Amino acid sequence: MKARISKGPVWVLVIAGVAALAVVYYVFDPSISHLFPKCAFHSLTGFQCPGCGSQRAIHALLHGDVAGAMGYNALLVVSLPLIALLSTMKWWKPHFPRVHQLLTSSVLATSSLIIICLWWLLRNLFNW
Amino acid sequence: MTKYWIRENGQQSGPFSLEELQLRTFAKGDTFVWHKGLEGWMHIENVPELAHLIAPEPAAEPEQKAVESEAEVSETPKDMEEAEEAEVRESTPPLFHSMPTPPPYMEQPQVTAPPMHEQAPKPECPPTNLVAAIVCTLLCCTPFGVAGIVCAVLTQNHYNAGNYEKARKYSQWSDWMCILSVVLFFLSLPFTILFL
Repeated sequence: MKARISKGPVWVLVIAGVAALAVVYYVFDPSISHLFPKCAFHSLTGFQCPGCGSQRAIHALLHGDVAGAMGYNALLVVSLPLIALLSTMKWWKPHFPRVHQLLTSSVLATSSLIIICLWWLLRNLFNW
Repeated sequence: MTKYWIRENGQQSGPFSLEELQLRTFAKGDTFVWHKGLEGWMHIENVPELAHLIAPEPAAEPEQKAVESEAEVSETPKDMEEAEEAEVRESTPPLFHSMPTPPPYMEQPQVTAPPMHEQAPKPECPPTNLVAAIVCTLLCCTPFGVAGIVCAVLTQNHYNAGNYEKARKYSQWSDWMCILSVVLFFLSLPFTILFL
């Protein structure tokens, strides 16, 4: 009960934060502006991390450029629907028990890990 | 009012009310009873409200039996009140599978054993933090995001396998990995913005 009450403001903050970030990423282009964080992993090692290109991809997505976003970070674009589904699971769980069962299966969790590791490896091999 | 079906020597009859049955006696050997709520036919000995109707065998001590049965009779009205009265008695007894009279040591468990489905309920899955870990991996650029995904996967797998204790442990680990990832991201922000 206690947790439920305190979750409300947290969600408001999260949504407000996401909205503010969306405005920032819509207005400014991370590939031009210097005021965006750069990937430490990329700077230190020269390799791309699984999240490299996410900021540019978000900027492109906010401008409706799905193809451009895919070019920056395809995995982010592909996983956005899944992220949306999983993070709202609590609300639709009672209505779609079979979808819930599918999304909480061990197979899905394990394959998401494998996909991310493969993505990490392959994007460095093929310069995606 | 509970309706009873009787099966004597292979002949099925019923339904009877308890009052109707009170006027009768039954042979101990081959008499089975079914009423709504029973999973199958029970030997009349195992139906408390009817056990006293068994015809006393010559060798048995009739007086002690009578005392027992009186005590049981006094309990029955309450049971009958509790029985679902509004329900229509359209139900019919299940098929009789010729069931040997259970040996004495089996009778107690048969009456008292709880049904199989009354097991301890499955605890709620601890948060796997899979989403948070994926988001951290894709946005925070720290290795802890991937570690968080590994812990999230372990949480889900252990929960689905029934190891609830381990699932809770890995849930906490994935939680910490995400927090670490975010903290590290924000701590490194000035550095990654200004110097890289």
